[in-house]
Amino acid sequence: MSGSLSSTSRKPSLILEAMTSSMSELKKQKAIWDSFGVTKFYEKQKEEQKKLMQELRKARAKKAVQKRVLTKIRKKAK
Amino acid sequence: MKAIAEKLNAANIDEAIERVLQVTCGELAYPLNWRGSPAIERHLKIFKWWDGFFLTDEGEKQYGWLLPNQTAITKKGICIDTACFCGTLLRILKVDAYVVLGAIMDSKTKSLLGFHAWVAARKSDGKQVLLETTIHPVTPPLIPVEEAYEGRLKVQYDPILWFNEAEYQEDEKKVQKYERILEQHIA
Repeated sequence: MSGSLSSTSRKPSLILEAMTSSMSELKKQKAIWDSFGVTKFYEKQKEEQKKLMQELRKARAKKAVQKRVLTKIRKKAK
Repeated sequence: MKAIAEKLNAANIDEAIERVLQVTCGELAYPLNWRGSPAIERHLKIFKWWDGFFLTDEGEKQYGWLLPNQTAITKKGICIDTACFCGTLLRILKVDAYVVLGAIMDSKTKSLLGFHAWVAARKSDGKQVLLETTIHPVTPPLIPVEEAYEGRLKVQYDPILWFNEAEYQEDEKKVQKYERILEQHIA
């Protein structure tokens, strides 16, 4: 490593704060994936995540319907 | 982490560097939420029956770093998580290595794209190589640091600070430079 070095305890807080933004993280990460020619993996993963979320929503909706129906049946039975 | 390092059966430093990068890139994944954005928050849920899935829009939206052993268990991590995982394995294998925090710039326009973490390791011939730990599942080549730092790739890596378990160092001029840029951006 080169450059003027110091071993101070002062932490570059603004830089660490900037790292917390998911938008800049995506912009930077996309540029890195692009430079390594692996953007297709990201696109594939993104699609998979979308599909999983759809499945989760469907499963939640199905469960909610089942719960409603079951409650109605129980009420009628009483 | 020691068990993972021992399993690599690296005979020498160069082999250790290659195998650690292979395990980092091959066995870990970059976490994306359902919107396709990086899951930088540390509120996570893992459904074993779905082979791992992050739900980051629930709970607190906070940024945090995972410890290397947490990354090893969750098998997912953003740049700093995978860099610390990789750096830790290298240090266990006695490789001269650092986790580096720095800026990523467009090599052509020199515009700042964001901040990033990577690993710099010294090979047996004394040359330093950059290990990009966010490329999954393929293992990227080892990049000579001069190529990465002088902008010979599509993106330019600019190191600001670097650390391992023994030391922490920062380039004060660069810290001030980027803080000025960020202050202007915030203002």
